[in-house]
Amino acid sequence: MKKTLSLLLAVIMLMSVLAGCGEKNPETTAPKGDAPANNPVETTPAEITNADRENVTIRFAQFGNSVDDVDGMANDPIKQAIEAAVNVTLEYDTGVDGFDDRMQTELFTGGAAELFPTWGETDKIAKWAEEDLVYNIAEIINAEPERYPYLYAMINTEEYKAYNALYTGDPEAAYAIYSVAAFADPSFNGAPIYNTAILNEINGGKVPATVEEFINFVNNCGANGYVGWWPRNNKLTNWGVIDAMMARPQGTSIIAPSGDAWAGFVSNGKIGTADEYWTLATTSDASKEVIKQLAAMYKSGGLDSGLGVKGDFDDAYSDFAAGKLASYDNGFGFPLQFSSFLANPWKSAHPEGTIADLTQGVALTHNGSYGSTYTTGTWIGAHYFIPTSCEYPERVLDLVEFLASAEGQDLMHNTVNYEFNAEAGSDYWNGINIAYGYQDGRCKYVWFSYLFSGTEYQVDFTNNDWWTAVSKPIDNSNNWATEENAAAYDYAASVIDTFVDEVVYYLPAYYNMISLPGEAAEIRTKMADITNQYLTQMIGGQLDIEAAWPNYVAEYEAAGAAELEQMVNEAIAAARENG
Amino acid sequence: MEKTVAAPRLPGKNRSPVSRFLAYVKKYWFLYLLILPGFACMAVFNYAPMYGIQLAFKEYSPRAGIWGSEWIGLENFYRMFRDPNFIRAFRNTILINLYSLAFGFTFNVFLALMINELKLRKVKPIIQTCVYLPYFLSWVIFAGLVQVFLEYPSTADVGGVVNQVIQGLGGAPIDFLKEPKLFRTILVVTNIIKSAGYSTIVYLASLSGIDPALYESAQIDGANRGQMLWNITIPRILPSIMITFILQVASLFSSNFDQVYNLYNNYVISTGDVLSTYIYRISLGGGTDFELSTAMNLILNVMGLVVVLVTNKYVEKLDVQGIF
Amino acid sequence: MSSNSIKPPRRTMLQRFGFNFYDVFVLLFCASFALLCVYPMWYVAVASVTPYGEFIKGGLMLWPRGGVDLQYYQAIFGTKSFINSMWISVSKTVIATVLSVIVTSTMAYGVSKSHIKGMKFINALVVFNLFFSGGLIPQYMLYKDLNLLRNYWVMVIPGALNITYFIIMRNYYSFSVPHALEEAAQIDGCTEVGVFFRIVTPISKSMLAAISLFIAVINWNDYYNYMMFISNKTELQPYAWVLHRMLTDQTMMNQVRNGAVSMGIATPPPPMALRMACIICAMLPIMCVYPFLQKHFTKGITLGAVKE
Repeated sequence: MKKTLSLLLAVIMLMSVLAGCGEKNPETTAPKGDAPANNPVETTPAEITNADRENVTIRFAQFGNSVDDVDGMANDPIKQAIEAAVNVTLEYDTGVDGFDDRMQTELFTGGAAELFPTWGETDKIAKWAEEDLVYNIAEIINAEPERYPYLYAMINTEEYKAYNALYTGDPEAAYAIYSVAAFADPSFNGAPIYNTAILNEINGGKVPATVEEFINFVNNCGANGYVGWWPRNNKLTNWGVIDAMMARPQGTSIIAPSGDAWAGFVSNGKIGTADEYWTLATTSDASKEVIKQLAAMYKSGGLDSGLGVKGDFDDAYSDFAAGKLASYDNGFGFPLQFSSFLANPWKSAHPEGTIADLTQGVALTHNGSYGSTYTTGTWIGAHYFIPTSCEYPERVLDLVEFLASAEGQDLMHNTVNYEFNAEAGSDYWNGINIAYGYQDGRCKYVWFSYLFSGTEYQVDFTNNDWWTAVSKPIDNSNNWATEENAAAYDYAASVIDTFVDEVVYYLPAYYNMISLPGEAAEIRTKMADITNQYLTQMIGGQLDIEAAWPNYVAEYEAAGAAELEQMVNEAIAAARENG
Repeated sequence: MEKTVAAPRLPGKNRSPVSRFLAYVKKYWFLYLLILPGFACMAVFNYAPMYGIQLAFKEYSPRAGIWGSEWIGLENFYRMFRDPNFIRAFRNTILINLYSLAFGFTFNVFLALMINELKLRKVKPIIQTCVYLPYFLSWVIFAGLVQVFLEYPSTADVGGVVNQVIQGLGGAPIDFLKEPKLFRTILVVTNIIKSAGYSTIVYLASLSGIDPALYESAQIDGANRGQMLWNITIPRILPSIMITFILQVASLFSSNFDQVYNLYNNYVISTGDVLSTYIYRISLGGGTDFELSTAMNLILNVMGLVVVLVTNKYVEKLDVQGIF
Repeated sequence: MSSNSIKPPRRTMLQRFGFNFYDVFVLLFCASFALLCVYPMWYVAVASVTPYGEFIKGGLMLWPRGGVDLQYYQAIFGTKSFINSMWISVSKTVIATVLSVIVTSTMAYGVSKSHIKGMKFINALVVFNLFFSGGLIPQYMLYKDLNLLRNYWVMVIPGALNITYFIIMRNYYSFSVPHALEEAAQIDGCTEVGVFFRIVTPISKSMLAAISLFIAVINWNDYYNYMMFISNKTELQPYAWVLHRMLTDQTMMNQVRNGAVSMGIATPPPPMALRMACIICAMLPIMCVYPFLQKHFTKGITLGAVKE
């Protein structure tokens, strides 16, 4: 009986597998035809050699673009110009939700895009290199320096090699195009945008300049039927804005250590010398005072009761546009954000609105001094890889080489050498970018924009070495912006310029090379969770600050506060000695 | 029903097992043919990838592949259970599902019975369609509406309609979404509103099959509505109830990410954090940990299977077909 | 079941007119729950036609203040990928639902004949799948080998056997289809093929209708397969994915808003209103099909019944 059964099963299984194959190998033709047709424009090829090489298809993946407009993409002149110059066929790939997962799954299963990104996580890069999943591009480039002059110069700089060493321990092995970037504008997140009308009504038009003035302003707003301040946050997990606005001027930091190695720490001793020492400030007494101030602001109605519950952009934007919200913190303090804030939420609700409706705020002082926001001025953007499953890595590098060249950069950011661009202004760019879902006045091509620099700005490898080029990107957005956007940008920039040098403290370059041990990540994850819960509940009034603070400190200690402080200082010391 | 159609196994008979087997298949060829497409689907899409489960006990190396990766024993499971937040999320998940089972599940049955009891023939399909609607709102939107309704009054705003009612009745407004004690209740209630109507379709479909003559004769016997409900209606839909019940028990350890993620916040994380949201939070930006997620799925599913086997056994004692 | 001992209740005036408190309670209960369910939908519908200036004032939104404004729908329908995704969704939903109902119901019928050798074992094999799966990597490799990646059919074929509805249908065939009918047909010389097509399938029509609706809704709402296994082929994206991106992804939103500007709508429409309009569009097809199927399953089905 059993035998028969198993025999029967075996037969059925065999049959079903056979039948399954027939059924499950459908024609590969999709009902709507295949990928957009590729019609390279017949232009004079920039590089004869590329024209002689085989035409290959390169799938390029970049986070957060759009590929919805099939016709628009098929007619994209910049794509066609790149294809013609490198003699390749480009396929664009993008995504937001699940994008990282998909990139990694594709890589692990041998189907990755020919050029695809990560966020530059050290452990990922090390693992992929070790597993031989991605090409060591240095090998390929160094074998043919004359074929890749730009890339050859780029990967053979000291700084590039320092990053190689950071990721894999081997300074000569480069596994990615590192998109390390600097802001063209200083990065600083503590300057809100005020609703001018409310500012006039509550404060006689005076922009709060000290912590005390700001607290008064927020509380007065609460007393007069407005919400005073919405710090940019997503369900109160982004404490950076509150930290920069309120805690930094008072000499402390309330955020949990995450991101930069020194986040949540304050510096004692002279930075850059052997005396430097960083102390964890998140659970300090000074932080406790800041939390008390915030709780009082919350209680007076000055901070929105939806704080920590409501979503970010939509809710806060519409409250601001409806005139309920007196100030909104847009996060980074870039002038560009001011201009887009004016264009987007404000003018959607007030078509007749002008720049004067909004007032760019300033960083606050406490006892006459600004706080310090520490930065190296650079950050790590997406890194781009060529998977070993790709059969023609040198052709992919041809593409990268072209994009790094003056011609390629011009094409993506100015197109000055191309006749179709003549005097067309922002309309020209909108015409191209609209196909990808952008029409915000940017004068850059939305694809490959993060390939070399996380700023999305133009980089000049022709006259600079790699590090100088990526840390001093060329911001030409205003060349093409509409008059009003440009004016808003200039206004915000002029306000920010008055204080930014006082606030932003540039750390020495070796701070870029800090590498925390693996255990630190675990401790930091725990701390972020603890901080999120304690601070929200203390500010929201669910926890009594005096009573809860000792528990907060105790949880931090249990999570490994002392160990983390030691790890951070050791890592900084190690970076200083190696750098 | 006859149980044995197959010939008894007699050793030493001249017919070989193969030919007997072929004869058997020939006799029932049509039924075997019917299951073939489904069986093929299952073999290819469900069973073929199942070798991936071994990842729970391995450290994945893409180069070596799943088979070639190194065994690391129970390390992935240790990693999971060492974490107190995991335990908390685990506990919350089970509690929320149990509440859903206790209240949501019974409410669905009750709603179906009530709709079935509606006498106005024209109103019934309208009500049915109405309760079915919220199922189509995604949680992003539905959670947004919940926030609008439960909003706490602020200086610039009168607050949500629920708090307006509470204040109108002389009570103090409640900040619903920041109250850890209320959060599980909110999850259960919003889930009821969103999916109760949709769940009733199964019950209503079974109820409509009842012969009206049964009610008529019961009425003649003098039974009141309650008795008819208890003695005629409920037994009739008991099998559907039980199947739904078992299927819901099967998901005791899984959590509704969309719902919790869109509604929870740092105030209520102690009671609201479930497994899926916890994993999302700790792995954000850190890439996908295939081994850990495989290990977690494995252990949750084994527990789910055990619970279902036990439930199924009790359900079959009620003389109702279970899922096996 | 006997209730002979109960005395007939005394009838009041109201009851003689067919009124009693029980019915009133039932009606009130159902109506108030229905209102609770309808309002969110109504809110969304109203918000999708309310001008933005009115919308951000907040409040209860019982009626579109400031007039009905269809510009958001105009913006959506003006987006190229929208119409295409609707078409993909409709076609894949129809194909996948038909396929899935056929595969699942035939298998359920076969397995319901548990006296046939092997069926019990196969049944256990199927139910087992409710609990175990191999995970993403093997799945991905399998699809790659079957050439299903970046292929329309990846949204249709892998889900053809639906385990949950397999169980429900199997119980239905086991216990709700009168075996006497089947046996009588067989005695009359009807083959098993005949029994299945001429007896069982016609009397299961209403059950098949209900299950079809469930499976259709699942397929209509599914975007995971597109997201994970197709992803960059715009011409294959289903509407559920477009909707998902409208709700969560800024780029998709920009696309539609810019499209609106190029169509001559003065200011880019605000995100929230567009989202609302998208949701309404997502519901319409299912709501159109629903009444036809509802008609079927009110005629009578029982999903699994008492053991005989």
